[in-house]
Amino acid sequence: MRIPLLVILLSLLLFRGSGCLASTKVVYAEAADIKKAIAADKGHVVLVNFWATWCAPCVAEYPSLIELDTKYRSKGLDIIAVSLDLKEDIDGKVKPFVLKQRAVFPQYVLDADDPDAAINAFDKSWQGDIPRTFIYSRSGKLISVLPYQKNYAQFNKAVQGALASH
Amino acid sequence: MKIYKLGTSLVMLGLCMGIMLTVLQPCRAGVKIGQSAPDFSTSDAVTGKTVTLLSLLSTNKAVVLIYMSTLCPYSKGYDTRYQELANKYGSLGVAVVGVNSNDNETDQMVVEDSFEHHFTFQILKDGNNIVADKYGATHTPEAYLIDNSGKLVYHGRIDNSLELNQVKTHNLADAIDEVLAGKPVLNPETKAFGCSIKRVGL
Repeated sequence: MRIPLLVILLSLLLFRGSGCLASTKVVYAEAADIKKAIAADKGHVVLVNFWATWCAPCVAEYPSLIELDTKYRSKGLDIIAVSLDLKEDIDGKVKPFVLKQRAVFPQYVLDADDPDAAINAFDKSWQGDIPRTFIYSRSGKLISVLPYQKNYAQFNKAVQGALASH
Repeated sequence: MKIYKLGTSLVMLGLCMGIMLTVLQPCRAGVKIGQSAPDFSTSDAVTGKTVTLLSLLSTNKAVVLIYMSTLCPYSKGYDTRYQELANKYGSLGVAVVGVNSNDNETDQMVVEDSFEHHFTFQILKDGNNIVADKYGATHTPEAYLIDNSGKLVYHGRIDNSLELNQVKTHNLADAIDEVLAGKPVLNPETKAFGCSIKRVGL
């Protein structure tokens, strides 16, 4: 009896370990489509993080996003990751990184064929430097811009403030 | 009553600072198109000689400052293009000058990177990101074109894509060509993604 039980438990663990991750998709999208996804998320605070596998500070701050997601998802925070990797690096670089990080929030790779339009769609005062994080209120208003690499405490403070605001 | 007012003031000050820390970017002066480009005095990473904007302008028809990095893969993707720009426009009397403002990149790293890539153009080491702050530069690569009168006439990307086979617009080269032809720059401001300049204390 013990062996089947052990098998079931191991299977459950494996399923838990891979089930969510296997469902994580990386979508190649234009800025307008990502903006639509943000707008459709009204009622939640939305944190949008711009990153890339080639950006060392972005990679360094990414685990903080996982922590935030775990802590605040049930409290109304949705995280959207937008990578600036090249389209041809989605399978070879972006997906392996996301899987390794065990990230389960939506993943996009930005189609930045027109960099000006892509950047201005999110913030006209932004020059295109990453990492950069935008936080939108529950009503969909941009309320916080976090340039440069941030640590967990800095993200946490901004998210707490956003969740507390109406 | 005074204590109450002082307490209220301190709370307000704290709130303002909190908002500034979370919402605003660090304060940088920056320069806008048409304005005089700020002069600077910093050293050539290879020779150690002092370089100023005025000295560059005194011997060239125009000056291109390109903020670059020895570590940022996005900037390194342009290494060949930096040298090509220097080759093409150096011979036409335009100074193409690299600026490394990253606090996590030493003078030695800049020198080694320059030798490794056989760069023939000057690279300035901008300690404490003083020049980057004066110009409001945020990332690498990021270019500034200054005409002979000292005015900023172009700010932005080198071209539209890191991928050579996707390049459709040579924005910086077009702007330099226009300046050399005595024409106004048609598209003086463009944007591109890149690595944040690693500033002191950030």
